[in-house]
Amino acid sequence: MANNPKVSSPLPDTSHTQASHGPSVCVETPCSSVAGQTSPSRWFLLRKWLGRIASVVFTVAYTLLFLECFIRIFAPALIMPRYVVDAPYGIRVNEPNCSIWHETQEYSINIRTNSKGVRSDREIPYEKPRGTFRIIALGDSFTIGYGVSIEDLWLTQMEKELRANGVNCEVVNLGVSGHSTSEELILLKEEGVKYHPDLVVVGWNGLDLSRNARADLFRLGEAGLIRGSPTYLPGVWISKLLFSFSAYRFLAENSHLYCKI
Amino acid sequence: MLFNTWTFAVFFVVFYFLYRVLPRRGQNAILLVASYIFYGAWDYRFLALLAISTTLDYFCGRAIYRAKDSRQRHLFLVLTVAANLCFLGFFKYCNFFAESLTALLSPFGLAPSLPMLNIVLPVGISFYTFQSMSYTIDIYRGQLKPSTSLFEYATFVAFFPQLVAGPINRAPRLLPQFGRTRVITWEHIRGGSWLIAWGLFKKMVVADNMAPIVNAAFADPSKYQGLDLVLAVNAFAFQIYGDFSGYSDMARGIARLMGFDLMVNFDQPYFAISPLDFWRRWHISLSTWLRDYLYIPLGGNRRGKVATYKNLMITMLLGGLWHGAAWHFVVWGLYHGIILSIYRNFEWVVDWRSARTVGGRAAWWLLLLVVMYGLTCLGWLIFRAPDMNTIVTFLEVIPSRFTLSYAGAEWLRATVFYCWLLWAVEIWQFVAKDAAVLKVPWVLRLNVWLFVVASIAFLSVGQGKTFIYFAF
Repeated sequence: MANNPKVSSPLPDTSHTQASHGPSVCVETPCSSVAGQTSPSRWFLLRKWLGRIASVVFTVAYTLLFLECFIRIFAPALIMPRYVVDAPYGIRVNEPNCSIWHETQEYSINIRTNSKGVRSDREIPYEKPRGTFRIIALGDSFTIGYGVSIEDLWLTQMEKELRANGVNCEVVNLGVSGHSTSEELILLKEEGVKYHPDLVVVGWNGLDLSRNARADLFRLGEAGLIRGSPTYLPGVWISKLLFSFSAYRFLAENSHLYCKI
Repeated sequence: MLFNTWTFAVFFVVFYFLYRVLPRRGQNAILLVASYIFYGAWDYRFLALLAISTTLDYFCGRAIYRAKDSRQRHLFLVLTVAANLCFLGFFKYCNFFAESLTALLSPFGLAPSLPMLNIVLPVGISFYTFQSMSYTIDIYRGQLKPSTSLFEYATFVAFFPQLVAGPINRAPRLLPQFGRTRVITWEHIRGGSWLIAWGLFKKMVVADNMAPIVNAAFADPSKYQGLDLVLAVNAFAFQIYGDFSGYSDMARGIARLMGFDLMVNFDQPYFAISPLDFWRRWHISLSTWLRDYLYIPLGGNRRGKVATYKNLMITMLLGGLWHGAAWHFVVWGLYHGIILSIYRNFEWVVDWRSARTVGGRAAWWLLLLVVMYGLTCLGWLIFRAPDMNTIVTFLEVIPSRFTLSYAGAEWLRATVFYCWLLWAVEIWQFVAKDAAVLKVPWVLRLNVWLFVVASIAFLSVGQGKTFIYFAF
């Protein structure tokens, strides 16, 4: 392209501050004619290319930093990382023993899971304590409670109300963000029944229809539902891989730029 | 194809690659093909009209030049101008005239049932017919030699950066550029890229974000308080400026990447201190067209005061009508004609330099600026209002309920949030009397570039919002 500085069209603004980020290089190399062509001009070329690479690296780094600041100030992103892993029975479940912060302009809440991937501040054993009425809840992010602290979660409120009215209940939150009813059914059969529930509460979502279709975990047979695909793990392997790097986790939890894109 | 879409971006990248590798003749060919594809993407039927109009004007232009006597020259000029005005009149104003005629006659019980044709307005017709007419009229006046190649002329008319919404370029300036080899330097690339980015910013970040405010207020003004409506009119002032000057900047930028130089269409219009000054800064290509082909032939200001006012009024009225087939555009034109005439009559008012102190000059200039901005905004109220009732409601509500509602406070915040950079750059350019952004040290330039690009990426409403002036 244009290294040739011929300016032929009548343009009024001709700025000549050619930005040069690298070291200014001087062309005169009297030594090249004395000590041989190769060494000094090679060094000169190396310096030129190092300078160019340095300026590219600088520009890229500065751009990223600038965009991060810009987005924080002018267009704050929603930081809502989701950590799911693959369960042995082929669907997504919450990563156990996790403590994640969700930050938006409206709220800043903590979501903690126990060793079984249940959103709870304590461990809940499978064995049901005598005289307890066990309720398990299946659903998606509305059930696990994105956007609210555990005290404000509708399931916690329900538990409180019931207890205040004399029901000795215990609610186990098996909600996983993104779940549809097909995944919830599998989760119920594989994990939910282990809790010996007395009641199962299901949180519906209008997206369940399309999600079920995409998951293809169940299909309609002649006499009812039959199993379709054995697994539904969209993007799980790649997010597991990426999140195994603490730097990436750091970005997902703190960078507005990352969350915007 | 709108400039602010991904489709156009892909189209342009492909086109530009071909353009850069081809020699001049190839460049012109690909330019013509690309321009017709660009225009045909709206509606392939419009291409026929464009081709017909182009061919007619080309041959009439040559006929005028080669005519043996003045009767022949006159004949061909009338032919081409009449044809262009007929195209324009039919496609744009047919229904308007029919409606107006019906409205005029119905009180007398004479309403004819005129057929209302379902006519689609070809995009850009107001622009390219005016550009063609200026070509033939310039030949008639002996100011220009006609093009010797139909294809070159067709490329000039259909040149896609400016085909759809201007600037309305003059042949003596643009046509020769098609015959020359375009040397594209690094300066062209930098300058062109900046114009495109800045134009996109003005359109996508400023104009498109002002639109919801304007639309809400003009849809139902009685719901709001007085200051809210004042804010809404101001928002429209920046919407239409961002929209139209953004498009013009993008057109100039794209043309510059190709090595072409299109005329400047806007020159900080809200710094105008009088209507005359305003029209030297707003839609410059149209106002100079009207001046050279309408106002001056009518006599301009050379036949005394009354004739001058009459000429001003006619010119502005037709200028308003050019914008669209609706009465409020005519009224807007008339309004500008009136204030132009008033300011002309009291010319001493704008002579701020005659004040004796620096402070006096500054105060006078500032007062003129504020008054002119207010008058411009009143004009925008007329321009944007969908009907007369809306204008009346605005004028009633503003003085009577002169407070800011909660919605209005949000509008104020949004206006400042999206427009502050535009205001800053405009003031900077006005003070520096220059498109100064490209001349600052690289530290500042990098930050400005990043800010503009980040704004487009993260603060814009979405791609593909149409430009206001496409409807004209």
